Amino acid sequence: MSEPSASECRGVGISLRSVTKIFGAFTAVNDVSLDIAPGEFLVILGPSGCGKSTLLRLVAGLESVTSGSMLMGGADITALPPADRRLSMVFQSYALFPHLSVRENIVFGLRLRKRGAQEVAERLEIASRLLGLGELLDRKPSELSGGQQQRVALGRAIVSKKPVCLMDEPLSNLDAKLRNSMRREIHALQRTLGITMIYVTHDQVEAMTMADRVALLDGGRLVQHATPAELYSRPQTVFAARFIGTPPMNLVPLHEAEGGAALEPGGAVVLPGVPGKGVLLGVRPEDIVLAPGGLPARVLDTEFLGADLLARCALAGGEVLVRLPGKREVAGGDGVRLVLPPQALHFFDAASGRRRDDILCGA
Amino acid sequence: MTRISRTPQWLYGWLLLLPSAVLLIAFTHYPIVRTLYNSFFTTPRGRIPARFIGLENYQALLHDEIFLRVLVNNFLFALGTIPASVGLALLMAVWVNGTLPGRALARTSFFTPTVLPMVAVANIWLFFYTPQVGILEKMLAPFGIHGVNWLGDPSTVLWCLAVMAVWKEAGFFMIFYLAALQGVPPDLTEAARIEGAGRWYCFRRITWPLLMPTTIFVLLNATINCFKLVDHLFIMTKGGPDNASSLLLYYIYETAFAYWDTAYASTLTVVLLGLLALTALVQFLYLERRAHYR
Repeated sequence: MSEPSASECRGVGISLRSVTKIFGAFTAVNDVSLDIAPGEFLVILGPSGCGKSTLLRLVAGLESVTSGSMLMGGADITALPPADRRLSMVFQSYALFPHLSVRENIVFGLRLRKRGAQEVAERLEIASRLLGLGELLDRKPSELSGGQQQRVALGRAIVSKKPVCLMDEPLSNLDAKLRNSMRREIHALQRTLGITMIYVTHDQVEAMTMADRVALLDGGRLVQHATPAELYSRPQTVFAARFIGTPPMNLVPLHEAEGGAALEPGGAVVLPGVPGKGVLLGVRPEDIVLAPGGLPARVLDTEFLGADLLARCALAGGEVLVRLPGKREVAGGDGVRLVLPPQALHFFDAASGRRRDDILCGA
Repeated sequence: MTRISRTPQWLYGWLLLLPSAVLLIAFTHYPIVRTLYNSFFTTPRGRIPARFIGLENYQALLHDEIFLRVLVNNFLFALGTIPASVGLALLMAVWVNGTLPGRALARTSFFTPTVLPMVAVANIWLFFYTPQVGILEKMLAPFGIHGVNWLGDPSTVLWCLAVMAVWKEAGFFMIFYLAALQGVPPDLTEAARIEGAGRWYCFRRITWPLLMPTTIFVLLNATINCFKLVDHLFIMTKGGPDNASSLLLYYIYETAFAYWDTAYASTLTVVLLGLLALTALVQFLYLERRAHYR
């Protein structure tokens, strides 16, 4: 295989076509089709066991697909071995070779491909400057902190100059503070290098902050493929609605009433013109407003988060979470009035869990 | 509580150490010192007491042809068994570490020779090597090789015993390699594969260096074993023919308990201990520096 030239090192696009992976009786990845643009930062997001790591390993070539195909830059890579796929990978465990120094770890692949000494030195120099590894080059991985090990793993990916980089939960072994700074660093690095990134995580914050687009997986299926903003503002399923956002979206079953929908059987119409039967109402805690003329509710308890205050309220036989500014003086037992702004309401089919865009609240 | 605090702390320490210290001193340390001491004296015979002769026993050693013979034998035996058994162990471990059908059966069968007592093994292999009726005779007859007295010929006997020792030892060492291989994270080989490393390159640059601590341990054990294991000689050859299969420890046994020359046997024992200490030292000092411990 020939090494790509410098111009080729910019990202290339990847297409997944009905990719499926079955382990025995378990379908880990189920008919996933995705297009990733050159230089795009794609985050594969989902709960543990949703098949996101398997999908990444399929792209890497560490597992073979059961059916479906994968294209990279227009060429079919489905049957290629990992080394011929023009990609680098950063593992959750970093997968640093414990018996090799930082320097040897970083240039492992270059040595393997018999690059000239000068080229190896140049690329090492660039990577170590980019990641601030200069003084650590002669240390062993066991002598490094978690964050430093993470940088070495990144360094190994950078020097290979592959147009695509895969990352499997690269920040999950770091503490919260370091995770924030590394998140920004990885994002900046991807922008600088212009490579295509596929980044697997279960952390929605990482997905929302880093991604150009997010592929949300559940049970091996692609639930939604959208920008972070769209994923937040227009979740396509109940799963997406519950998975994105902290605390998650409130989901309240609606009931049919004369001229609209009610929050409890036989209750008063609160959403005129909305069919109540078999419909779930979704509203984010931060979209609910406390205002006169709203629905009467009672505060059950509150949680103070500094900037915000979470209030659990009993509303018409159910419960909703409301996110209020931290200064709001509301306490358990208080009677409040909740306004659900019509433009912030989401409707889902109760049976299929799918979003229903045909319902408009005309209140 | 107050009573305990009045008893000095060091007394408890010594009392706790006492049982094992007694056993160690009585059966290990004192015999070693006594052996060294005896090697500077003559053997007491009847009413003639032991007499101090300095290094005379050691001088006799240098002119003892049987001693030199068993030393060479032991060296050849080590050369024939250590690399072969360690290499075979690694090969088997890599093989049964992979995903092959009937893996548990393969592991068990490789390990079986280890659990058999050496005396039983020696008896089985005695039949293998028997002239006229042995299995080796039957197997090689179609190729025109027959009538070989495998254990009766000085040129073949040592190698026959070496083959048996390899068969017995390799499975034991395999277990250590297998455990070490399972401790190598699969991520490492996957990371290397993505960089384009083939199987052999992965093994040479990653797996083998990570196995180095195990290799040191196994080599050390193999070395000790090739001096220590002499049970089979009692069953199969008694060191013969013409001392062609005799090993150092067997010679020590003969000198001490067949000829009752205990002083000279002590001298031989000191040499054996010295040799073992030396090999251990060389292996630790040389290989240790190249090993990576996690």
